[in-house]
Amino acid sequence: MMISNFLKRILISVLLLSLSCVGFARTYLVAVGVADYPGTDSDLSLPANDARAVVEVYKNQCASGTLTYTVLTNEQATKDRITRAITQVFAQAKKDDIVVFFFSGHGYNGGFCAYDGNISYKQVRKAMAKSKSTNKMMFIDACHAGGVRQEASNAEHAAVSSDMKRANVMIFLSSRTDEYSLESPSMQCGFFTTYLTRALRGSADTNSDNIVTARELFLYVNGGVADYSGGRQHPVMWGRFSNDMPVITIRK
Amino acid sequence: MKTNINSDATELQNDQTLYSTVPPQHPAHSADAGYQPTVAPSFQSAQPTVGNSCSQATSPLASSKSGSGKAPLAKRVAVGAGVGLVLGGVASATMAMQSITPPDDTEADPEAETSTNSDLHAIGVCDGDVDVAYGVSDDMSFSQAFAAARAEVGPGGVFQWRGQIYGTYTADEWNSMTPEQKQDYYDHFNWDRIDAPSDVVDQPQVEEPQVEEPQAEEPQAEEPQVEEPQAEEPVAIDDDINVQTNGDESHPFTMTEDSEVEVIGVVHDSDSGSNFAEISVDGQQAILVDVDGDMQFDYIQADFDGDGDISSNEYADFQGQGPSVDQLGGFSDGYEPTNDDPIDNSDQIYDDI
Repeated sequence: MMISNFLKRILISVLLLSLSCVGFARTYLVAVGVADYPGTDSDLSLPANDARAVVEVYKNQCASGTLTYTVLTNEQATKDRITRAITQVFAQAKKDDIVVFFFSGHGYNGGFCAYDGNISYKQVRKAMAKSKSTNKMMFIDACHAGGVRQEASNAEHAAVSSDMKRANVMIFLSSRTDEYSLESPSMQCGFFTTYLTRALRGSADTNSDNIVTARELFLYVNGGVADYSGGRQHPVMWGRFSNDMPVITIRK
Repeated sequence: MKTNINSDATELQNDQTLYSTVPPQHPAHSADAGYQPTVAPSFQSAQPTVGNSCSQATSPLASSKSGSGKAPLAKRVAVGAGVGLVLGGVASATMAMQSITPPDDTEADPEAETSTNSDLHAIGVCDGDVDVAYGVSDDMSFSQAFAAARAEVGPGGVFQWRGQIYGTYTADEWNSMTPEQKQDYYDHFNWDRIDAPSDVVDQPQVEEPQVEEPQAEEPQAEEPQVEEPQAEEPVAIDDDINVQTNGDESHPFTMTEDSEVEVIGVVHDSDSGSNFAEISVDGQQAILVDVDGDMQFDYIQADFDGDGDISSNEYADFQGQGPSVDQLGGFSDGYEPTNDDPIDNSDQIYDDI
């Protein structure tokens, strides 16, 4: 039975109001992993795998066609290309979309090491701030990743505060300022990325509501990494967000 | 939280198929062997510094001009030989930095609160490139406060005195700065955290030069639009950045004024007492649900994420504005709702004890 135009208008107006609350959010992901630095002294084993693993998780969890991503590994992951990727890919996002930056590789207090140079967290934050998205996440699997918080107590506070007025910003770091981020040859990914990907696949969904929240993510990853590392590595999460902020929706 | 390592190891091995290459074995990297990471590469370029060099505030090569706020309206108040650049008052609204860390983490961020002598860095008024003088107290005169701040941090710093924020440049220094240098100084402040300068009672005003209007001399191009992408202008992605999507574009359930809507059927479920309606919108199925059987539909279920399946969490609440069973043509299964009102004894007075 075809409904009357009058009823259709009612239904449409109601649906449009209701559907405005339904998230058709897209996810934009820039995943960077540098294992093979110039020369051999600084080489790592797993960061390139880390980046690809995170991409795989998001590809599986996001509805078909709703994930836009780019992966930069090793020699592709130059300072310039990383910064442009963040700026240009995240610029596609709308207000309700989610932007995620993932990095795995060497780090230092205040930033991380691209293939050809250092990138400060401040630079990354500035690049991400250009995005319209109000749901921004940064996952960093690098030594001394917690240093972004130390810097944040100075330079980042003002800058992040401005961004935070407009957006949820969640920064999840693999280790404290004075800790290393560990990896093991018996694993396919570093400690942090291993538990991060497991969490994003649903292991962190403790209340089985098919949504992994920020708090669920932290508790799972922090507990797992601290336990597996024998207390040598403690992920840290900070930013402007609620404990219940959805990080990812689990698809059955 | 305990983690079963053995079962996890099995799961991890299954993940090996995800990767195209097997990482090389580096025994030296083994966490079990007391792993120490390799040395991070040292690059020739200078590392970014968060220093307290006042020259950073003035150098045109200092940090980006895309600061956090608009060009400020700053008043100059001359006090004796110096000039206190009044930037404004600390905003009453504060923003707490949330940090989730284990209970024994000593790096937890404290709650930021506005106070008379606030840590201007900690509450986000300015970044670490601007030195904050803390050896200033409200019981000083302004001249004393300015002198003390100046002695502590030199030019290009900032201090708080009686609720207002002041710069530590002298008049000569400020006047000798280019507009770019002045803007660079302003860019280190979060103007969202600073109220407009107010008339400060008891503030000594030996002379008051013309109010400085940075908007008149500062490049408007440095407005926050620098941080905002142009509205609706697509940003091209460079060819060397390989962007992909996870499959074909999905077709999530949508409805427009031009949609063709057809009611397939309306049925009553006697077990639950709920009513259900199936509709077709441009060929896409949707289910309307009247949970409580009050003849008004409460929510709609449809394939909102376009994955080809309607899962239990894909629904939209009508918020009490849903259509009624009658509006959809009544029950198509011949169900006749009864007219019995539910018994309501709330107003009954039992007098037959």
